[in-house]
Amino acid sequence: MSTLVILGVIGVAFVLYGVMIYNKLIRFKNHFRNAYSQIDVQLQRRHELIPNLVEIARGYLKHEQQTLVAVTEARNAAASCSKDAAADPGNPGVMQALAKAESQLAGAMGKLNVVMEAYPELKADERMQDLHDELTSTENRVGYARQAYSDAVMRYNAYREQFPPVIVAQLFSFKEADLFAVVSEEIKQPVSVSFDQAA
Amino acid sequence: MNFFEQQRKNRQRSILVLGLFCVGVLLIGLAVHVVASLVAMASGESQTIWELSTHTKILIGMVWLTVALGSLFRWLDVRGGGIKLAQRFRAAPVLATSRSDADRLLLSVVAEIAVAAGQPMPSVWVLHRESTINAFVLGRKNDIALVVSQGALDLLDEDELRGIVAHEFGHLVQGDLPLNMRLLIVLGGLLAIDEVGRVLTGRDPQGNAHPGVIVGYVLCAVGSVGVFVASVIRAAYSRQREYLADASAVQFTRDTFGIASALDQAGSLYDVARLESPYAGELAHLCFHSESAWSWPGKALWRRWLSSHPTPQQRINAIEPYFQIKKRKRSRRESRSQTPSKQAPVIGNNVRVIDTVAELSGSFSDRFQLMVSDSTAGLAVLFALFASDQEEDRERYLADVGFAYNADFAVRVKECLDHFQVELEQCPLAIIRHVKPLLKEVQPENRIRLLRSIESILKSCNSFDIGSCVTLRLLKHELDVEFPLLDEVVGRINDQGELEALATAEPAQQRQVKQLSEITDEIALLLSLVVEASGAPQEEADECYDRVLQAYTHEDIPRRYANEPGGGEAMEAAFELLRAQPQITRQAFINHCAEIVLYDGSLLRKENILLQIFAAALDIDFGSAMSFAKAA
Repeated sequence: MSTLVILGVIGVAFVLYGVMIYNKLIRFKNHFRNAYSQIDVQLQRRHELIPNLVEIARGYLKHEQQTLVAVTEARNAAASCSKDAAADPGNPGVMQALAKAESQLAGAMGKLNVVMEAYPELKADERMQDLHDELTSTENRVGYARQAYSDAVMRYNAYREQFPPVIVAQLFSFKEADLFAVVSEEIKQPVSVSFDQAA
Repeated sequence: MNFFEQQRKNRQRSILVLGLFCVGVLLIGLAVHVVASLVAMASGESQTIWELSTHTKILIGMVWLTVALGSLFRWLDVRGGGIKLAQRFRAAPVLATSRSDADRLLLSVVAEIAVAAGQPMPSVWVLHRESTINAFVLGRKNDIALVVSQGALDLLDEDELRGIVAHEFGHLVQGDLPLNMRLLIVLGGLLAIDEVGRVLTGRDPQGNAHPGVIVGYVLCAVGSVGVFVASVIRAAYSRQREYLADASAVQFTRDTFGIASALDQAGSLYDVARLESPYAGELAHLCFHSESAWSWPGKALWRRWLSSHPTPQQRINAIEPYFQIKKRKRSRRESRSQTPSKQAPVIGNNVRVIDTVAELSGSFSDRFQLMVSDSTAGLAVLFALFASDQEEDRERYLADVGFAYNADFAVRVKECLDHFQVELEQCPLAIIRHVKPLLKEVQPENRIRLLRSIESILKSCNSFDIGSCVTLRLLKHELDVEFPLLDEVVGRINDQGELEALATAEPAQQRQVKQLSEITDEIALLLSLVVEASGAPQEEADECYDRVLQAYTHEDIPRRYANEPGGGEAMEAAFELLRAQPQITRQAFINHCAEIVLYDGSLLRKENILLQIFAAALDIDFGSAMSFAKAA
């Protein structure tokens, strides 16, 4: 009779332990999902700042309309691609389109920066300085968000593959998180650098 | 640095230490029980240690009640959201609308690290009076405050600032805030045992010892030892958490050099970290850097055990073992790529511009350094700085000083004037910087009084020219007096060129203008005064003034003169307004001043000094101004 009780207690202890592991897996999973959406937040912030930049620059760069138009178009393309990607994250075609649009935007911004160098009054404009600071900060934040995402994914995967949790993970089919979903596509696309003024 | 691995190790060690702490507390409890039952045994009430009579039960109950109450009071004391606590420390909030470069850099760094750490953005505060490098986090779950010292903003570059902010976020992410607060509270409870012991060893109103006096002594002993041991364990725990926070900081920034460099600077600062508040002791464990760590070598062993932070050197070794080598490499690289304009340029007639403070203080005579080594001497030298060149005015100035303070002080000022003629004339900036640490001990209220008395004395002597005005402003800045109190714009110059008082004083920060045309009157006034001070003949001065004014406005504003009535206040108001403008405007202004001064083709030492003081008071790097003037 007492052996049954002891076995029962041990069984309950195991179950409780299993519950703790399950909860921890869920916590890590939500953590990296949240980190993923942070990247999106920062990218969107960048998309929103660019039209302001174009507006301010428009007043000074009266003869550089092509560059400004190129930037605006690239920005609109990137924004719509990222909306598609948010709706359908796993689709490789959509992710590739997003990566292409982002790199084109980066190229257009690069050209705009080169042009702005020749207009010191534009650089000295206070609003332009504010915006420039904001954009730099946003670029940093995009980088940090990606870093936080990789760290979160690594923590989840590492825990998932260790010994007792691996059993629980198999039981409840916790899948391995994809570390490179956001990062690799963009890296694979070469950054287009062109010094041609006619965009 | 393999920060994930480090984090794991540090976390394990700190759990171990925490376990020790709990064991220690239990042991103390046991000791109290044993003492109580021993007493009961001695008085024959019970036979064995484990059998407790009602008396002992009551006694033990009372002791634990005191512990619980002690903990409760401590808890009530330290709770409070981040914002309230930060206000208690007299920190000033950093607003998102601030136009100061340092503030905006700080806000963007904090926002970026918040993203890296996956935390919401905390409220950001600055301790304006603290010129050492330090930072700490306060508060509860949804109400976190991050406080940074003014010294950190002034002395650290962007990477280093990032490092210390990331360290604080490390504390946040690792959950140090609630846990350390709880440790504190338990410690408060343990102290209560000591208190109970003290009460028992006291005497009642008739002067007879309490019956339980021996118990009292034992409880005191147990209490003190208990508190000491608990503090040692708590300190050890805190040190492990510091290493953990450093490792987290590296995880967030992925940059070891920045943090190591910030630690290096914090450790080698002359001043000792002094948070001016009775609550500072509690925060030591959450700070970036702590005094007891700094004073480590040569201090007693027990001090080391109680230190809440490892030494900066230990921390640097954990983060970046090759820090010194990298530091030397970097400084060698920087000195090689230094542009010529940063070194002393030669302008025109072989007049060399002295633009480094280091160079200037090298020329301080040994005598000066010896004699000016305490706060009174420092004050005397400051007053001497403002004395005029003319014999008559000087006499009157000294008389006023004697009247405002006392005759002895006036004699000291006169001595300074006699002995340090050369230094006073040639390197006022270096003098101010030399005197600054000497005046650290002076209370802020007295510093304000000092500045006000210099101002009033100068005004009464009518020697309040633009040089003195600017030097006074610079002095205010250097003495770390809290800006929001003093830098209020109280008047503006209206169309008739007179000073008009504003209905309510506005903080200078809000007076940034969108277009330069709004402050042309003020700028014209300042330019005229600089032109006048440059001592050129009338025609040339007019020409120069007109030329420079063109850069700001096409209006024809007549030149002003220093001896106009109400000139002093107008000059101050104009200067304050200029100081509130963004960097670019101030830089342009200094460039134009340099142009004015060099108009006659030669740079007098007097003019050079005036320019330097202007640049320093407006927070502008002087070297770049001179290179601009040279190119023009």
